[in-house]
Amino acid sequence: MGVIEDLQQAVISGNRDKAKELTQQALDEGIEARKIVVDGIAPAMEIVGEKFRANEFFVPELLIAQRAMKESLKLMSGESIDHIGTVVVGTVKGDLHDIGKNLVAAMLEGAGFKVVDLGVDVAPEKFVSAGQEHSANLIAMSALLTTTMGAMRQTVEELNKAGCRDKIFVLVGGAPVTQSYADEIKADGYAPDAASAVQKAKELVSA
Amino acid sequence: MAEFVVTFHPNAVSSRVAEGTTIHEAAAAAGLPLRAPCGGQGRCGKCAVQAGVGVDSATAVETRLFGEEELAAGWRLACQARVIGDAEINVPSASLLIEHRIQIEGVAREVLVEPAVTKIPLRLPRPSRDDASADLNRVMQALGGGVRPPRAIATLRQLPGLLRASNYEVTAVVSDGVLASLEAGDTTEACYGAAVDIGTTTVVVYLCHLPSGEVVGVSSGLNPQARYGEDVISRLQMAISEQKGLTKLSGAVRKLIDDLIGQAASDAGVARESIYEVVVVGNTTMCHLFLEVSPIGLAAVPFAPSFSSAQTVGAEELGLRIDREGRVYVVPNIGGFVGADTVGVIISSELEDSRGLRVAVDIGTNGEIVVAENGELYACSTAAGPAFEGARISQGMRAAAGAIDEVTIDHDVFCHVLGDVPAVGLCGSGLVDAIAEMVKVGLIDETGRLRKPEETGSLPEKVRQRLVQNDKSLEFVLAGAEESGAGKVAVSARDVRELQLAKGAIYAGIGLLLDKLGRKVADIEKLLLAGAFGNYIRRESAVRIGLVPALPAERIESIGNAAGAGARLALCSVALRRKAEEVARRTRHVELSEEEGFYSRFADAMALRPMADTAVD
Repeated sequence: MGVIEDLQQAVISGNRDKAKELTQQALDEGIEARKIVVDGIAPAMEIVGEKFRANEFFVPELLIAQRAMKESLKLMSGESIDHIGTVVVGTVKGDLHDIGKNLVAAMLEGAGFKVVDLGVDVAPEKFVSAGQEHSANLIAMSALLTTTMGAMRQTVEELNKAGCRDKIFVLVGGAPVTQSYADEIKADGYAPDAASAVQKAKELVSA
Repeated sequence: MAEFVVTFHPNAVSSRVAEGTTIHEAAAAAGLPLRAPCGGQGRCGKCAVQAGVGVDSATAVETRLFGEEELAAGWRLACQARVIGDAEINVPSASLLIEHRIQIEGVAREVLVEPAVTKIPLRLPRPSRDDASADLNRVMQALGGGVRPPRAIATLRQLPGLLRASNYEVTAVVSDGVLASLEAGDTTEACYGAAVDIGTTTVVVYLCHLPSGEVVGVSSGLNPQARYGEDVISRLQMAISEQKGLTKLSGAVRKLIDDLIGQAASDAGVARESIYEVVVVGNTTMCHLFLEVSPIGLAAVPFAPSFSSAQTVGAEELGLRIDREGRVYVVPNIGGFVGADTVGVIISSELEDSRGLRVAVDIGTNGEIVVAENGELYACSTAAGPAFEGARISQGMRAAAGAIDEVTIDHDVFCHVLGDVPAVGLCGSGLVDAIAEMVKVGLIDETGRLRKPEETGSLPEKVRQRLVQNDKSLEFVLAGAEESGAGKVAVSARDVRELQLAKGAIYAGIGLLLDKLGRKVADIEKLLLAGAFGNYIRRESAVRIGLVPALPAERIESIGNAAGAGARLALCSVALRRKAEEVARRTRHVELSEEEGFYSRFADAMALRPMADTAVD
């Protein structure tokens, strides 16, 4: 097996020392960073996502795969990588839940997106200004409480007010959020889990 | 607007409702409340009913939730389907909000009975030409210096007639050092109070004889707010966003409490007028809703309650029909969602004075955790309950008739079902048991992955056959349709994940609070499991999956409804009431999601194995 396939396996099984070592080896062998991401990291994270959706993997497995992925990406931080898009992610105002949001951010990064993570308790205006500042293609919002998901609607309204709704897609998710709610607030997409969020994000930016 | 009759089967009850009313509302109007774990938003699928004629067509939510065959058979969500004509609806028992097993015993520490309300019999000297002092002075003088005169003018107005009619033999009702009222003759024995535990799901009332501190009657009922949403968050949402939502929620629970007080009193042969005080515990949200105070600050970060100190209110103002001058004392809250019920757990299990390291876990609709050592107290809450009470579990239900509550696996699967009925679902203790047994025999690995049929070759054939592929997901059948006589009951791969989230949160919470004291799991001297769930759960199962720390059996103890026991103590002892107030101030509230390191600790705690001290990453 080549170094890229080995790297995939290391990321899937969450072996971060191995992932780091193999990334260095690949770079030493003269493989371009963008190729390592497109052929190694991205497909590995896609498999991780599939396993998650099939209930074969759960949060801890995603977490260690994500740590391994970050080790690998860290080695290539100086290299030029062709991002497939820029996503601003965050948990909405009033809400501190970040586990799901962190998984989505990691999966998006693994899939080749540039990710700007605003953290938790993010005000609608902050989503919009970060979206504009980073020329984001997508804003991805998470809410875990029925009482805080209303902030998603406010963000959509803020985007409208700022006149950039047509340039930035909106993706929403989190336990109380549904497709109907996404439709109601005129978001562009809804994802029930981190793996679906990546798929949806890809669909939106390539549309 | 047109009105139609909706009839519900098999109960054969009906209601007349306006066109456009949801089936959920129509069922409530017919006295047949249905489940609504998601608050009627069409998310959870727990209110499924079969509709014949008279309802609108399925919404998008429902077409996603139900298969084509189910839709063709008329399956609908009661919260989505709306009445458009006279309708006939079949309600499966799993969709009903039914009475269930609850916890009514409780522990009580040794306590000196010293209630806030006491009765003092008085034989007063009649007025004479030598002693023409005022009636009120006569009473106050007999009571001695420690009692203050009445606040209510009604008491004064009652005085002259009462003294003369009763031959100057009266009984003074003294409440917190104030003369509250007078009664004719000697009524000292007719002195009662009610301790109330408002759970998110269940409300329990203990009627106590105040002079002796003994419980003379107990009554309980389902919190009627559950019909508006099973968890705290959906009720918060209703209270703050719906017009009159707060009033509805408050009125519903107060009406139930008044009914339960009446029921306990009549069972014990006690007159409502002989009840002088009501002491209430509940989580922070329940206390707010009971007093009809908006819980708006609890809806979002930083989760600031509107009040946390103890409150004393006239019973009449809250619609509780006890003595005219009767009062309601609400035990103080600690902070965030950690409320008076946790204060009750602390005082009833003497955590505040505990020298050794003690941990109390109260698993109800929310899970509250307290750690205590040498007078230092920390508490937190987790939203772990829904998995244990059935919401979010594909065939989850509360511990009602038809619930599997015990599971054993050896050469086949053996289930115990509550009530003399076929199995229709799985309650919290059954879910923990099922998953622990599945881990034990190797059907589930430590990460929570349900093994594929081809990986389970070494298992008995009868057990293997129960592992089936359903659509895209695997499930393990506990009771097949032919075994249960109703539908099949199974644990899905997804259910295992839900349990991992719930138990991970509880275990991580315990770990984080222990950190605050600089202690480890191995240092725990006593682990106390409060609440009904803590009583019914099999301890080996809870330890096997790491829901609670792996400690020797003698260090784990079930303490029953400790919150309710705390309410009783605060009712019967003024000293403990002051202690409760001090404990509420002293206990430090920890908001888990604000804690550094909660994320990785939570993830680590999801593993399905006995857990002791986790290695630091």
